[in-house]
Amino acid sequence: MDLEINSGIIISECLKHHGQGQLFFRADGLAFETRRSEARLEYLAAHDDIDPPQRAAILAAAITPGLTRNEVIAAWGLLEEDTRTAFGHVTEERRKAFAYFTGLEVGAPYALYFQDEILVGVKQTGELVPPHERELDMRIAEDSGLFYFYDGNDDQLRGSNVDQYHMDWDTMHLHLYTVEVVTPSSRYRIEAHLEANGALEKYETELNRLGHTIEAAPAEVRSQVALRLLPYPQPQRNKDRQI
Amino acid sequence: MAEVNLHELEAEILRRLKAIDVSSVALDESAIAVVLEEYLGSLGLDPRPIRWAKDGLDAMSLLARAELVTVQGQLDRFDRAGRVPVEREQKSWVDSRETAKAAGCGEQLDMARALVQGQSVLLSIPWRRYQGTMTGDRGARTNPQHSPAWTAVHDVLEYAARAAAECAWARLGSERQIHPSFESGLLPFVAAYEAGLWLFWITTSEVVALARPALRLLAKQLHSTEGPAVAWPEGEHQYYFLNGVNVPREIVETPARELDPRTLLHESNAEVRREIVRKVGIERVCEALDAKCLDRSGNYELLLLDLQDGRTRPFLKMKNPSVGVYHIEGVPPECRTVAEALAWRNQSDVPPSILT
Repeated sequence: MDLEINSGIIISECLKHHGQGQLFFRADGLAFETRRSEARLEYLAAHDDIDPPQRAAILAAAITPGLTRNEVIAAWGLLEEDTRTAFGHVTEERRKAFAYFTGLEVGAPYALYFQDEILVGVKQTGELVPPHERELDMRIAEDSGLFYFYDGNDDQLRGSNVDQYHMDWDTMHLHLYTVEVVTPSSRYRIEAHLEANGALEKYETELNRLGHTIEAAPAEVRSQVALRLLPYPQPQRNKDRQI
Repeated sequence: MAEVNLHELEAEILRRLKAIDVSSVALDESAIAVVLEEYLGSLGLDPRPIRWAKDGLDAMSLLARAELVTVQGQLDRFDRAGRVPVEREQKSWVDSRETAKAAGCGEQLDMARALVQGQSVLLSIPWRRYQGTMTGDRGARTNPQHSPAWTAVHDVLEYAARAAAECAWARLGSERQIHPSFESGLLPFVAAYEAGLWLFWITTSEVVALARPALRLLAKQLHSTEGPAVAWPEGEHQYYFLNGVNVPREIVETPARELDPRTLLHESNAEVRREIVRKVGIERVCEALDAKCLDRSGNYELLLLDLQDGRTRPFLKMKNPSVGVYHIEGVPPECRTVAEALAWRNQSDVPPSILT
């Protein structure tokens, strides 16, 4: 049975503070890999105001409710490649964001609950938030500077370089933004994109491993494999909302 | 239905709804169970246990995993084409229903219901694109009003109000027949509402029930200066209101003298800003934000406020004649006179929240 996603369930789960006082370790054996350890130590060196218990948790490559999102990234040594299949649902109540994410590649199926930038709960669960069915098209469109996507009433997906819900006065009135239809990516476009990112060979190998050829793999499998291999372009940060 | 005086019955329903003390809820679970069992029977459904949600969020949480039974149009009466519920075209029906809903504090409960429904959910956001409240859309978001839970909801006050409306409609014409479900599907909900039931959902295994929250009112508006204005006795999630405006808890619970006037700079909702100004006092706001008057005209002043981030911006200060309190609204940076600010305000539909 599909879970009906509503803001109430996200907020109530966040307020349950799952895993309060517990430590959750990365379970894939990569926590102390050199590049992850270096990133962790760099983060701790740059943030000497972190409370001792939280600093100890981060050093042990463990997360615990109360850490900030950046501290979670440092503790688990999350690299961009660990997060490509991580998706979540986000809602808001009285200018506070509530969110949960699953799918981080850390060797165990964790759901992380956030209130704004603070981790407020951790739970082991087999539930996975699936990506949007057009996620790969969006990932490719991000390279063209489109970072915000909207399902249109005409069933077309549209992308914009500016968040249509959080726009400043000048941007709105002087139309300093673009909105474009995001077309479905052809096989050749996906492969060209992978090649540009040096991942075409891995893509073909992975398809073969799954029993498909690069020519005849189903669209869904192409999408799953490509999403694991394509890095995210650097995001644009939204400006803070102000009156 | 047996011969009854419909006029008296309608008046009786209104009297009973008006008599309910909405500031507290003495839940009579056994009386509610009797009504629900009868209602399920009228729908041809087997009886099932009632599960009480602690508060609105708890109800949403319970429903997310439930398989809902949708009963659509059971209590409607349709025209010959089967499209428009015929009674809704009738002024007597509509007026009576509205009067009955008002008697049972329907408007205030609708505000609470909107809060329980919550905001939309941005779906399938990549981990790397999460930015708290500034997270952008990723192609899909929910519409809470059209979610399965809210299309399958049973609103007890609505049913009770329809009972009154049926009386009003049927007594105005000898050929008119009261709704066939009146006795089993409408009238008993007056008693259920009196007993404390507000909303319920029928699932395949149980009925999820939500009690009417205790409401604190001032002049028929949700208002409490000392705590939540909407709360369930066993609930963990409550809602705070001042003069009918949903505000953050801190604004209600922080004493006026301790409330930082700069709070309003971070508030995007104009009505909440008005309540902050009302609580803190316009003089303290002007003092805290180092206000300089650029122009004055009648009840309006154009103030230059220090946004405390290195910028100053013009704000129009005006007195709201209907509630007699001051209101502060951002206007475009180029405005230098009250006339310019008013001209902008009268021709623009841009909410002040996006002014920078």
